[in-house]
Amino acid sequence: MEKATPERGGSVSSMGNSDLRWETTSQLDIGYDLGILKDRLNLTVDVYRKTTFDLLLNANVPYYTGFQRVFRNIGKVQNQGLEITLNSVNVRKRDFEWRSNFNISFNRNKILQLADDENNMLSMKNWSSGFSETPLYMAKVGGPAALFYGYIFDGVYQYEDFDQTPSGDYILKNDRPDNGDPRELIQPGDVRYRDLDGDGMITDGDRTVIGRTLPIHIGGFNNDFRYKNFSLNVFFQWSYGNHVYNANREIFEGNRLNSIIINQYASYEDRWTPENPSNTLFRVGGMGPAGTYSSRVIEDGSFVRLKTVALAYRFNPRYLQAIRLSDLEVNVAAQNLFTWTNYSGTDPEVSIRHSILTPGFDFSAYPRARTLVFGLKATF
Amino acid sequence: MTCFLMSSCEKFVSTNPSDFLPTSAYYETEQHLQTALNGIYSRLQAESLYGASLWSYHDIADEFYWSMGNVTQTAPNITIYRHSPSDSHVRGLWQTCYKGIGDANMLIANINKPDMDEQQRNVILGEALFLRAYYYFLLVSNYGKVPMPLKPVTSPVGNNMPASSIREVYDRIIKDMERAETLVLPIQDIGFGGRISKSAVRGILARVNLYMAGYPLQDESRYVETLRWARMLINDPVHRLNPDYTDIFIRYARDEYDIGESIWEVEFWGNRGDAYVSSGRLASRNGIEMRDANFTDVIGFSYGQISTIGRLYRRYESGDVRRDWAIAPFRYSGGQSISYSSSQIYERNCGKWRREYEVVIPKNRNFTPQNFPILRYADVLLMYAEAANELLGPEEALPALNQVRARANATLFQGTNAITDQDQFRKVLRDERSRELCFEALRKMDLIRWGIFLETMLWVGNEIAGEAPPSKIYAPYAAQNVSTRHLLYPIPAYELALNRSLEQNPNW
Repeated sequence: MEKATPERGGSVSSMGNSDLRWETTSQLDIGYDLGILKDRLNLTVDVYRKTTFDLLLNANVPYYTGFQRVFRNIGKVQNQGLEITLNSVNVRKRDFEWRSNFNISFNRNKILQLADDENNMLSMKNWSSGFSETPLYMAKVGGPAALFYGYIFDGVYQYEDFDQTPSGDYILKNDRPDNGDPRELIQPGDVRYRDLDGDGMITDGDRTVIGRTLPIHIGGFNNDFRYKNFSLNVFFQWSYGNHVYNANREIFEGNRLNSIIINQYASYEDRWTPENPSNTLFRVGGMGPAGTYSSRVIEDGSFVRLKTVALAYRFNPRYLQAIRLSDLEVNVAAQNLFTWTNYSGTDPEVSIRHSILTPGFDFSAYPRARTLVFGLKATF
Repeated sequence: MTCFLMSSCEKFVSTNPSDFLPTSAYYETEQHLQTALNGIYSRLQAESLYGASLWSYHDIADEFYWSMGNVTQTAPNITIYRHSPSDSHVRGLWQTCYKGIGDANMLIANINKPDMDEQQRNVILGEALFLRAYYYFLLVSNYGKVPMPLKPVTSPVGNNMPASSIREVYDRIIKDMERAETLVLPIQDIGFGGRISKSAVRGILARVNLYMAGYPLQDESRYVETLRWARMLINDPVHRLNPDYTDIFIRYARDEYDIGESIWEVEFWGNRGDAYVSSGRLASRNGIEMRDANFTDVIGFSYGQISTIGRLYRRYESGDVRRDWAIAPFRYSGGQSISYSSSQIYERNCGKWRREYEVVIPKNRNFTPQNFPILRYADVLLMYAEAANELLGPEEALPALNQVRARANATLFQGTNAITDQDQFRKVLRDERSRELCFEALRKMDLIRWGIFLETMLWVGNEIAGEAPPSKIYAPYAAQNVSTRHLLYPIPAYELALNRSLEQNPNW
């Protein structure tokens, strides 16, 4: 038989959706402005509610359909919030003035309805091939659009969880749950997850909500000072009550991908060893089944940040005439000077591959730069 | 100068897209049907099926191990039975099978659309029905209960489909394959093994029935069917063993056909130097180690990622021509073949498909035009022997077994050497299948259907740990990590998250 040139083949690559509708929103805002003490104190209160109908998404569909993603309307989402802004002139003298602006926002989103009358929907995060098949987020009717979803980290197996055979092997005691690996492979120092359904095995049924992605409130506090020819701006910013999935730690604090040549964080020093029975970090190679998400690396993403400090000096015009200038100002401004947070990563504010269903995820993100800018402004 | 014309959309936007083909405008001609059918075939070439995974990742049992794993390089989880429901290879096999099924459902639903010759239409229908059934066969044997859509999925809404039972899936496979057998062409009319022929359908029906007779269905009434289909091929004068065992595989390298022996093969083609991406990793991933860039075109590059374990090597008697062909007693260095010493067994790579016989130049470093055999006549003879032994006893089964052994120059079981005990024959046959068909993506499923996968892996694990060279640190891991849950793959985590009517397999 002669070799022939291949024939062309064709296949159906994507599914149409004749029911697709435009996303629509309805929004209601109520605002209240109040100025007192000759407008030295200004208060603005806004309440809003925005409802998005037919939220449009290139959503994953099960593979058995022969397809992977289809544009579809996945449901109805409500965003509502309260935003309070307070502007005040705290001091107003001839040589000294202090004005401040304080704002705080409480935003919530809520899934009102999901397509197919589902009561929840799971989403994956595509960041590493070892994990991208597992869902990390749940959107639940009546709850927020994104909650972290996975196993509850339950420490590390210790020697007392095992019976020792005469030959010296460690056999997991019958009343201890496995971690998703076959029982006979589990050794002291291996990662442990909480067996929520109590069947002695870690399976999909033991996954639960392990963190929230939305802050309870965020806000800013801005201050402008002026003293004679100096002016100073100090701006703080904060977020409170959100979690961040610090996926860097999956790779660099425990080597979940089981790579052979890879560095680890300094915290890896404190991993479980026979001499150091850590209950927070499993032994080398004790990372359990691949591709699972757990609360181990979920961290509080709350922070207060000194976002901006800017200092300027403006020369008195009287002295400038001699050098034929009408205006001269020197200034120095710093951004992201300091952050108060318990978050162990470089920046609690990051979110890679962000979407409404998959927020609050840190993996190898580029942190915000700390910048220092010197300026000279001259007008001839 | 650039000129922009702005106007209201309505008059200019056509709702008929021009950058892709909507299915409503397709399946209009015989050529459309043929093109769609080729698309169903092409899934077999995917890296997640016969392009690489089925004969490497998915067939780790008592024949070979992933020898690329060492102190500086991790072996993929799936090669050491450390895969989880989130493993990309567990997902890849699932996804690709369902893509093939989706394409087939679409073609079958539109089969009557064009005006065309009825016999031609039936041939295309038969091939599509068979391929869909074959993808279901891969699914049910690897994952157990699976959803079984038989019509195109046309709506993105309401896609929660419960799994059909293993029995239901097998029954449907049999039904569709038996219907296909009446529709497709005889292999002589096709002239090559890349297309589904009556012979291919009959041989695969023998195999499917053999799987049904074993674990998990244990429906021993199916041996009759295996016997019936295999006998049909044995009585067909077209089919015979290629007298030279090595020539079977040299032909795959040279893209030459032999419909006598090679009944169904997956077609690969080219070197990716043109628009076609139809080459696979056969003889590259599982080739003989050759890493010297100066000899890529003369010999052909291979990392030698698959090596034998001691047990497979020892299954052969020394005069058996299959041993030193299936397991290469040498590797390449500096363009020369370097022989292994008699104690170097675990170092030896799979040698069944050899790149030095390829004729497409230049040779791609990783991808080859070599074809992969899904069904060889030798397999048909051994399936016949297996079913005959179960139903009629060793006497009826021996001639087929001996025919396979004679070609390999192995000792025949005849005269005083004849096997008379049924159980003894079973044991010999199980080894013979490995001797003849090792590395051909059959072994793991054979062990599972015989119900001896777990015990075999237990022995093998201890054996390897005792004899493999220390540098091959991953060699014993697969066998040591196996447990009861590995009789099936887990349902991919991705699928469970999106099809809420599915349940995970036991212990996953």
